Amino acid sequence: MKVTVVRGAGLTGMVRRSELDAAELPAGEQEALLGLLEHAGLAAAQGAAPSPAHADEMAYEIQVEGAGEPIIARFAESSLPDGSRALMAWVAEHPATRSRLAPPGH
Amino acid sequence: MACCRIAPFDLLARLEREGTEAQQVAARRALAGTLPLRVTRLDPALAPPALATTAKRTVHDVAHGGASALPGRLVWSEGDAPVADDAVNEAAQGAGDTWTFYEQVLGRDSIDGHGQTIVSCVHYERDFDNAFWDGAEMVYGDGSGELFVVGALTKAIDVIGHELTHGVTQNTAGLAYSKQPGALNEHFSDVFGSLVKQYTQGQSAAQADWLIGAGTLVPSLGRALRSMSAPGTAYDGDEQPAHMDGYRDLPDDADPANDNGGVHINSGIPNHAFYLAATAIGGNAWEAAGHVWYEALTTRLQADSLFADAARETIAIAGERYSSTEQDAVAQAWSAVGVTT
Repeated sequence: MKVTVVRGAGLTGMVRRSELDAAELPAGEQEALLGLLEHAGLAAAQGAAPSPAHADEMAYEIQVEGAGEPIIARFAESSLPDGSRALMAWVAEHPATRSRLAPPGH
Repeated sequence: MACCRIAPFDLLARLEREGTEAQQVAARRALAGTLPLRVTRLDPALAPPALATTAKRTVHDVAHGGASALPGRLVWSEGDAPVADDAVNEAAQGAGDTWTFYEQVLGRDSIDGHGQTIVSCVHYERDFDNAFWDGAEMVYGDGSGELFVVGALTKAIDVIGHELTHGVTQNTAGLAYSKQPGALNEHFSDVFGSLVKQYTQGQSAAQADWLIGAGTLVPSLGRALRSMSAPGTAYDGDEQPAHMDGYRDLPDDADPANDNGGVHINSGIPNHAFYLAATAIGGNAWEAAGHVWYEALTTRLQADSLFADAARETIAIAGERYSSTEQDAVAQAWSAVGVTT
């Protein structure tokens, strides 16, 4: 299972993409990730349009692949569930995560 | 800390006689009527405890809460002494500098034109790499040290002016935050954010650095968020175009990578036009060029306006309010970036 977190828009428009492959994690951390996914509210957000953006508001996307049907959930800052924020922070900060920063449009 | 107040004549005269060399220079310039003197720059011993100001500001501490915690606990109100938290004092300072700019230069009474109190909310979330106007208030993250320098966002006067100008746009042209109108929305925020900085620092168009958010990014990423004089050169990987030949037609599809249809990419084109017009006219950019752009934003443009509309209206206003010299400078600036009317 691969979890990808995309953080974009904001006052720069820059795009930070963080990818974490759960297969690279020890069993305990895999369980922690699954727990975060369970409480992230992704199923409810799947396919739903985020609220219209305020100027320079952050925009987010969480993708989950390799665990049943692929999930793509998008959120505006003002409507980001606490569980999704916790998942994004965990993925973005994990040492096994591969991250890259790109200008808007990438 | 006394925020953003215009020093009275007797204080200026005293500083001109007794201040440090820098204070004497600043006082002479202020006495000559060329720019306001910011008391915060002065030796606190020389600054009076209370000077008149029309600004109305509050600062709240979100205490690392999220959207549901806004605005947070009130920690500073207009007239209060500085507090121990730099972010609070800096947010008040930036809001005051922006208030003063709009009031003194453009005759505008706050964000809504009717004296709206500027509410600033600091310490939003944890390690949060953004500052934004949420439609009603300013929200500042602390920065993570990975994208933004920790604590930098409340220090950047042009970023604060940029964000608060989104509120002005919301109350005037109402430019849609999508694709080309969204890029114009970003452009006007960059213009007036830069002008708040130039006015506050007493820089002419020739002296200004024309950068947005200089020093806010961690140094390994670059020197600033955007450059109006040389779009595409602010940070490593910056792709902002300076000409319509480089216009990026991205979808506005809620994909965070597409930036509401490239609003922070294509703003480089009108940004460069403003820079070209202001430097061609010369002197202080907040005077002729700033007034022309302000009148376009507040009286001529609307939600679906495009670059060509902004060009047409600014050229017309320059001719109506100034001479053919200013009008030619504005027309040539838009032509140089490939925007035709």
